[in-house]
Amino acid sequence: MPGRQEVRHHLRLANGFMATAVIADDSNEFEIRNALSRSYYALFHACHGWLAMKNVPQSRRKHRQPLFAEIQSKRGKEFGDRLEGFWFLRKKADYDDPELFRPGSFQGDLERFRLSAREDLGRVEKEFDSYASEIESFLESR
Amino acid sequence: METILRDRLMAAGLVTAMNEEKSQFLDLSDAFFAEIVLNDGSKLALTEQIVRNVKEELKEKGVQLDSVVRAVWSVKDIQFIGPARGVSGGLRAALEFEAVLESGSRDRTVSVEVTLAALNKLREKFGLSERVGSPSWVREGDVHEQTLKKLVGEFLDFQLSSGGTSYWDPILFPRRELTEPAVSYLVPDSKDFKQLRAAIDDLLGDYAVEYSLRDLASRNVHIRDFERVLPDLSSHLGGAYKPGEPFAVSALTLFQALGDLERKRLRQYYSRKVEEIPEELKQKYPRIFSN
Repeated sequence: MPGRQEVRHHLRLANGFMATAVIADDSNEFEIRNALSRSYYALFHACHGWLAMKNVPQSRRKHRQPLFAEIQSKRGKEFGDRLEGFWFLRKKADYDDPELFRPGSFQGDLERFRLSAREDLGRVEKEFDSYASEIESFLESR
Repeated sequence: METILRDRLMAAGLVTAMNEEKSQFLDLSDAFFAEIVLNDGSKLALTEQIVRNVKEELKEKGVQLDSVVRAVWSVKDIQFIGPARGVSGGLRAALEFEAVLESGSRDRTVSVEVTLAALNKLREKFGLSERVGSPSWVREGDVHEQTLKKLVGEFLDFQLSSGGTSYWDPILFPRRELTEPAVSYLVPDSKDFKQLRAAIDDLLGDYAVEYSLRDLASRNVHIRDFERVLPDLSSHLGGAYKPGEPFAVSALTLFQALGDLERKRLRQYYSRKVEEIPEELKQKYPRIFSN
């Protein structure tokens, strides 16, 4: 069964990754993509830590889909839906080459891309906080 | 499994009471999971019975079904009661609020206790440092009752937003505690504030404090002069920057972006950290600590 050490480990990684997910005023396209990707992995570790806190064994959350299903069963459908959305955001940030430049998207406008990415990052951070605060409360309580 | 459950609920006239957006049917690694969410709390007992019956039938066929049956609740009213009391009538280190929740035609009264630690956190966040640590709440000069009620409302909304097996059943558990971590989540500090606070911790932390004091002394900067020390925080900020290039963000820029309240809180935080510097270091650099 998961222990406090595993919970602490995931929280440490989660906090560390989230601290690097920064979109500065002069961030270029790849720094923005990095920030979005890292924020998703911060959230991913927060989810692992939260499930470990709930004594869900690693075997039941070894891959993304089972992990998402466990979160959905334990936090509700809306949390699962949001996780899927953030995963998709990460996929776009890591892989979609024409995303920034496709007609109808940002059409090469880096400033607009930055503003949109900041809003997305804010949503991931808010979701992250909902897991991290509960984990921190759990670790402080004993 | 989903079809069986829906058919039974339809036969009982309960499908229309189901919240389709929040209800879910999952195939997990070792069991099925069904979450039936109702818009009307008065239908809970009947729905629970139907789900229990289906579970038993499936169990006889060797199929495991885990389930949650819950209702969607919303906050109808919140009242401030006063200092919380224990079962024996003795005072507790908390303030008590009573809230009425509603789900369709069903109401439920619940109690929320705001702990003293949570109240102190709020006092700190609203720049009421002189009230931090006081065991009693007062109407004048403390966190406003309306602010507390608003926070209790947001706390209840957050508690009620959890679904799945983590859902809160206000019927079975009508008491909640609003603790300090909940305040940190509901009233978050801005990112800029957190960065500056971390920079202060770094500047005056065990590892760097003597270097920082020596540096301030060499430039004749009084340590309690926050405005003159503020630029030094830039070199203690985190975030991405390329070696050899000027910092993308300066501490002054971040500080100017803060609201009045966070600026006040940051100055108070800095003052506290200065007072916590070990006595032997204060005596080693007396000029920068003199009044």
